[in-house]
Amino acid sequence: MKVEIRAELFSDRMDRMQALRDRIGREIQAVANIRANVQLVEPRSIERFVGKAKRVIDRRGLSG
Amino acid sequence: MRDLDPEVLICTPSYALTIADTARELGIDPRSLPLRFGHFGGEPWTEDMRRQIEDELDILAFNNYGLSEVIGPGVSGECAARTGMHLQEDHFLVECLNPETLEPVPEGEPGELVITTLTRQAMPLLRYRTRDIARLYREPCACGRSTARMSRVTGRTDDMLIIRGVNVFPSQIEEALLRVEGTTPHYLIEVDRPARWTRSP
Repeated sequence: MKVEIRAELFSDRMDRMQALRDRIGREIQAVANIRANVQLVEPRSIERFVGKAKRVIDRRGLSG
Repeated sequence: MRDLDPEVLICTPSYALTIADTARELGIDPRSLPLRFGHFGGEPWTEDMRRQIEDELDILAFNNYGLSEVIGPGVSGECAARTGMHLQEDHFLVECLNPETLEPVPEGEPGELVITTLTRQAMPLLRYRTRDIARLYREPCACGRSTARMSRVTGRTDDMLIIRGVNVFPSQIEEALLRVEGTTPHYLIEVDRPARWTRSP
């Protein structure tokens, strides 16, 4: 799962980025009971949408 | 917006944030725009996202529900109390059903909204299955209106992901995400099969 984070938090402090990633992973596990591979990405790097946002890419169908 | 001086914005919540981003890119403080209110719908959003939109655009943000097949926005909308959306029951008969059995769910429980138009001409709809999942309730509202209210749409019967047998709605992930300081409501969920995972029956 890709998550944009605020510019001021996008730092070269690997420990802080790691802590944020772990925290997000724990919150997701708490609501959905799944382990997600969380990737922090830079602000504005996820495509914006004029209409409804697309939040899910499900590639499972392709591999059959 | 500078030219036309609009006070109300009606769009999807994600697009409201895109407008704020774009304004900043153009060197315009989005809080300085003439907007005062926003009605947002068309996709699931959370209270955290509401706060973010209100903060970035300096407006009051209201939840609104509608679908193109019925009339577009305005099937239901929040009043100033912002505790659920008042259904326009003079115009729509709304049922909340279990999508599997098509039986009504107990009041206050989540179910699929099924809409019949009462006043629409030319293209009436009878028991139209919206695929939208929400709760309906009839407790009196602080504003005094007596219509039934509906909760936010928490998902659609067709956007639910089943991951290793667990039902997951993207809106749940968003809620979890926005509890963490420093994240934004911009995210993308990618679901893959693990390479080594062999398919079980």
